[in-house]
Amino acid sequence: MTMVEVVAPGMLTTVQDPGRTGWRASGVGPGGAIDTVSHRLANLLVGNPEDAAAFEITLSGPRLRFLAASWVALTGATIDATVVTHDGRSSRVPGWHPFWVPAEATLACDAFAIAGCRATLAIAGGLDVPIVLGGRGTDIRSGFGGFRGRPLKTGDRVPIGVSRRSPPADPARVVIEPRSVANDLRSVPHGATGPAEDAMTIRVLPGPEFADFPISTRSAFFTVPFTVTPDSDRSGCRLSGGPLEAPRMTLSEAVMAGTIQVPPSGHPIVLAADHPVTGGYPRIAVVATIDLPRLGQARPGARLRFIEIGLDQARSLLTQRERTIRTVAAGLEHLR
Amino acid sequence: MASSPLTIEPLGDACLVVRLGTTIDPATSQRVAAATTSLAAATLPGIVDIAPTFTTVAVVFDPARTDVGRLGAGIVSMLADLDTATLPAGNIVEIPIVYGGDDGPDLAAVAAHAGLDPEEIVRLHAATDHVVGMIGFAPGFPYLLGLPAALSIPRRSTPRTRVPAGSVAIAERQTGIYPRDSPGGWHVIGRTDRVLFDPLKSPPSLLRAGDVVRFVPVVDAPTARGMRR
Repeated sequence: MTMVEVVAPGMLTTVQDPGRTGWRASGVGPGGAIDTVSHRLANLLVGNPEDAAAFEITLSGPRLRFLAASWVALTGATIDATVVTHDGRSSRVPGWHPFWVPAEATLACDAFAIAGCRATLAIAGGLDVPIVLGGRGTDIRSGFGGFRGRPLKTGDRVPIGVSRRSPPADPARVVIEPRSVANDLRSVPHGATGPAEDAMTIRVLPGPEFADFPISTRSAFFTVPFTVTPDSDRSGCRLSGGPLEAPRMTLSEAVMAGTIQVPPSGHPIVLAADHPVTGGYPRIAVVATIDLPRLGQARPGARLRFIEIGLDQARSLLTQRERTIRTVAAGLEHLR
Repeated sequence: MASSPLTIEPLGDACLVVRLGTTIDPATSQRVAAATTSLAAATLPGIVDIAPTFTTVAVVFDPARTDVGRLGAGIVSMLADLDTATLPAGNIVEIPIVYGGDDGPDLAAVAAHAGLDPEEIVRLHAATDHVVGMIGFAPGFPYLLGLPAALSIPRRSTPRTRVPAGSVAIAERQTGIYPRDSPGGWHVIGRTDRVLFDPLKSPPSLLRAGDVVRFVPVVDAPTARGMRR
């Protein structure tokens, strides 16, 4: 069986896939990749089905030794990556392009991300971890799924499935494919250099308790910029700003990834993939699905502004993006 | 019983919430259970998950492939004649529990708050049929309804950073059981060794909404634990 060996794990590297469905009644939320679009595209670039399991890297990635040669793609956050072959030669490899890692070479993506927060590292054949509750993603809090229910550690050997792509003409050398994906699908814009970009605009729909907030709070929500705080994680993106005056809620209710709750502190929390399935704070708004991948790239210090869109617009934006992804997938069909 | 009209509200662009009441009461719980059963048996296209809460059923769908208007209309027509009469009764699940001591460090404080002896707290808690209102907070965590009014107590002013797995805790008019070590703000009165959540089982949660939990006090804890393993 093919494997990659973890030489250094990076800040927080987990196995993720599109997430679980069907277990909310048991209290199991979706989990899975935070930036689902980068995840799907990384898989397509290496000839995998788009729902294959891949590594999700947070801010600073792992060093991996490839026991067998593989096609690899790195998407999402911009991270400097280098492949060092067993004879000591090193080659820089770009994001958003498939590259070939020869056997016994080491891929180092442990530099701190230049832009964005999370990168997907897909390996042709997919990460071959057991399916638990219908998914291969790691649920860190409950300790199941992924690779042994936890983030990567030094010395781990993660099994890789069978690749459908054929090797390049010279399998002993690093090869970089010119083919990539359209810039407008990249959740981290090409050329973005860091967290000091202009405030990100995140499109939201009003939440079920929106009308219960005071008028001044509703207006503040759409005008003041919010800043992502360092205690953000896979369960939620925590914001400082406002603070917003929040009404009391009496009962816990359903929440989704993207649900923006306002706890008594007045500092909103945008729930992410690993969220609990219920929450007891008023839901002022919900991030449109189209913007969840971009929001997942907001690192601590990033500034956000919220704007309102309607259900129809949210759906048409998504339909349009699905079309674009289908076109990309068709263009990469020769890789499969 | 005449059923009040249901309402449907969006929760973002990937979830519709069917509201069957606004307060926790047996009639609402019945309607939630009936709606959950109907929707789970339905073949409405686009639905990927269904989750009951105290007063609602959340219907999660694939937003890129679902016409939300059509889905909402489908749900309304499906639930128009909600029949709670044919509902299967929830399972009765006995949960062995050790009350007080190291397993229930807040039992004395709860007793003091209620103005009762700890023994009376235990008697009242164990004599109650606790109905699972919903599973939430963490995988397998049951919100149990029916805590006697005499035991009602506000949450701890300072949540604990770590509550051990199996802890049985109360707050307001509810009891919860922590499936895993986690932070928690409820008053811990006892502990069970039943496994509340096992990801290798299907379903993974020991309990589901509508089940009835009876706590069975265990006196000789080590022996009882050994026997059940």
